[in-house]
Amino acid sequence: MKKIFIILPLFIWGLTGFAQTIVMQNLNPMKPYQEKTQGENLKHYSHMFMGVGVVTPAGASTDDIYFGKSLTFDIGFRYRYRVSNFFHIGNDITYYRQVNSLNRNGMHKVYDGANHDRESIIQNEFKISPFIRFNLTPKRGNYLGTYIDLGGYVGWNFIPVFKVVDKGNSGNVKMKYTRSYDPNQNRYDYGITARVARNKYILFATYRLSDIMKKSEHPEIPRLSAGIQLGF
Amino acid sequence: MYQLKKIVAFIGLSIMVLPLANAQSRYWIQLTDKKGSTFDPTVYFEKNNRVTPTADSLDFPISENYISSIQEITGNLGRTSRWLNAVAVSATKSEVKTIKKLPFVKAIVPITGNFVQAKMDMKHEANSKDQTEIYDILNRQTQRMGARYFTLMDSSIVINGKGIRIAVFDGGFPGVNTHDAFKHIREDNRIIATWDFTKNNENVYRGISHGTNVLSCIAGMHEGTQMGMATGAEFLLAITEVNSEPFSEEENWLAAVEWAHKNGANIISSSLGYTFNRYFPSDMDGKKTFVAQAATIAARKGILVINAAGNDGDSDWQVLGTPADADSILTVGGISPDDNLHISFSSYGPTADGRMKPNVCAFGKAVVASPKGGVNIAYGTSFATPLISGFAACAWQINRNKNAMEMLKLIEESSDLYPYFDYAHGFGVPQANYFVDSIPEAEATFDLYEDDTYYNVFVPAGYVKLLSGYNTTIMFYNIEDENGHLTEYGAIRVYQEKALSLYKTAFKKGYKLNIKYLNYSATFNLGEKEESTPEKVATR
Repeated sequence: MKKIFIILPLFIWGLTGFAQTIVMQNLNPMKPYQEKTQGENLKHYSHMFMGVGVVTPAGASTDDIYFGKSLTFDIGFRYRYRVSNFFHIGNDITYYRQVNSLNRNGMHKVYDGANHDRESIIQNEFKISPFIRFNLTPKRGNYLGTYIDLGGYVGWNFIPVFKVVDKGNSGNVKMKYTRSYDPNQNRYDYGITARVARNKYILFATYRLSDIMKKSEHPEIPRLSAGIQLGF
Repeated sequence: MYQLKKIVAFIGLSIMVLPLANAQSRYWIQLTDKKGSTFDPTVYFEKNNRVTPTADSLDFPISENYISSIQEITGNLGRTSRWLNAVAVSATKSEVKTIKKLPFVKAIVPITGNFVQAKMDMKHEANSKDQTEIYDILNRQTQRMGARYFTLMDSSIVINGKGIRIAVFDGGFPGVNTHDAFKHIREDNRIIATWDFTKNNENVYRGISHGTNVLSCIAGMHEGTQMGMATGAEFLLAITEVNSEPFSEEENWLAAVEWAHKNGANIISSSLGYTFNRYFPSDMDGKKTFVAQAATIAARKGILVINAAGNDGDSDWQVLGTPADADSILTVGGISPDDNLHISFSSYGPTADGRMKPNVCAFGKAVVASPKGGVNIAYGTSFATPLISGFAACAWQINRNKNAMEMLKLIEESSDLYPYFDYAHGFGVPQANYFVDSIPEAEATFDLYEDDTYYNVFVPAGYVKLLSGYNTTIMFYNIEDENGHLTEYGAIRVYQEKALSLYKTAFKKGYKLNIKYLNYSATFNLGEKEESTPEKVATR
């Protein structure tokens, strides 16, 4: 059996004709002109993207949330189908993380009612986000152009987290408490999305329609986040 | 505080959306005729011409009445093109509908673009401190074209492009008015005219340094060594490119071509091209784009247009851009000075309609003058093109009885792979000795034999060069179909007598195998024939 792994490569090497060392070769010169269906302004196009954003206070039940310190991060895969020059449809599959930092000086009633140095309610979600696209630069070469996306999403909060950080009595020691699979958070959510973009530079906004927090005594997390995405 | 945040968010969203509310786009309005316009060549052509260029109806101005009618509908008029009988406008969709109804409007063509500049064909500029490499390339970038043959001629004749006027289109020429590399041009007042089409004034000694780099490869001097061969030529310098102005570059290029003709240009050297931002590869047929049409007209009017193939050889685009796709112009690809083979980024041919391109090639890595002084190494077909432009000027200087198309053919025939060609190298690198020496007939360096499965190319032992010099061990081959299009091409390094084997199934009826090895070329008619009769074409 071992012999065949020696003989077979030699046999194949012999078949190729060892007289020539190819330094340049083109076996299909017209290939770039053959009709393609994959491309930024062709029928199908897909790319990865990554984004960061801030959570705005809009939709929060209280002003317990720091504006600007509550951040979002997403990384995903976007597919787009070109129906016409102007109209496209598509879908994203995304990992989305939203860290909602709570104001430690606020009159919040989240969880144990105690004040902590830092508290966060963290969503770790997989999202599916269908969208429709209106392209505002119809006559162009093979690039994305300027466009507006409108769509919605459904998310699965697969690891909802409540996180607390306290400094110890000696000042520098940190005590962290993390409750994964936080029972106070809903595991599924949905909302609407909007994007304005030029090529792969994207501004996005997301508004959650459903509630994250299960009980009414737990103030709702802000619903509107906005930020930038970069395609690659 | 919360209300303020809402207001800020709303304003931010509005700022994002407002630019999209601007519904104006840019269009070429093509007109049916030039009724009512008059033309006086003695007034139109510049007085600095030695010989008044030939004129025809294409040079007649656009009808003023037609322009006025269009201006009543949309006030945003851009450049006009006499040759294409068109005027550029910014207009809304409703204005376009109104313009379309005018009886003298032949067609309305959108000018595509989205805040992107034309590709500059410059790969990158290396601030190389390796002086050895700089001097090595500097010494070879003109000698690779046999520049020494132009200097070895009868000393009463100085072959340096004297009497040839070269128009250079680019994004700027900073330092040309001060750099030592151009001192010999300035001292002789051989910069005949300049124009900045982006700002409509004469100052071209500003902007992107690309033009300075390019001009040095046409006619620069560094420490007594030629950077380009046409050190005695005359120049017309035009800025047609700008980084941030949308849509305008192609309009400016069109205007610059007509300006160059008006000022008596013999050669247009253009290291610019337009590709994926505006077009698809299938558009590269030499007819679709306005710049390709303008380049073809310029060639018809007796100007030798030399354009870079592009730097997309290793990108998704791969093929040449426009106006490199135009017919009757010299499209220049790039080779590496390290191995004299196709440099990876140089765009490939053919055109979308199967025409052979590039025509010739030169070093795609060259020593160029930097605006702030000194020299650098730069990559790009941008620099292969002016090397060829300088060569062309010298060749034309000693063949003044030839017209532009005849010179184009002669430059192709002078190239070191001719009559062999492929879509990476064209006919190869033009050689000066073709113009000054008689070329001896080459000896046969290979022959073809066949067995049941392969066509085999055999090289006699004396021609198998184990020490590689300068292309000496490279065999070029292509398979040409009955329409003259290449179905396959390549280059191999020859190490032994059985140099090349090709499957017989690759050949259909009427196909030809073309081979070039050590200055000898041959063509074999192969395919489904009872006999294969080689037709050997001997070259130098």
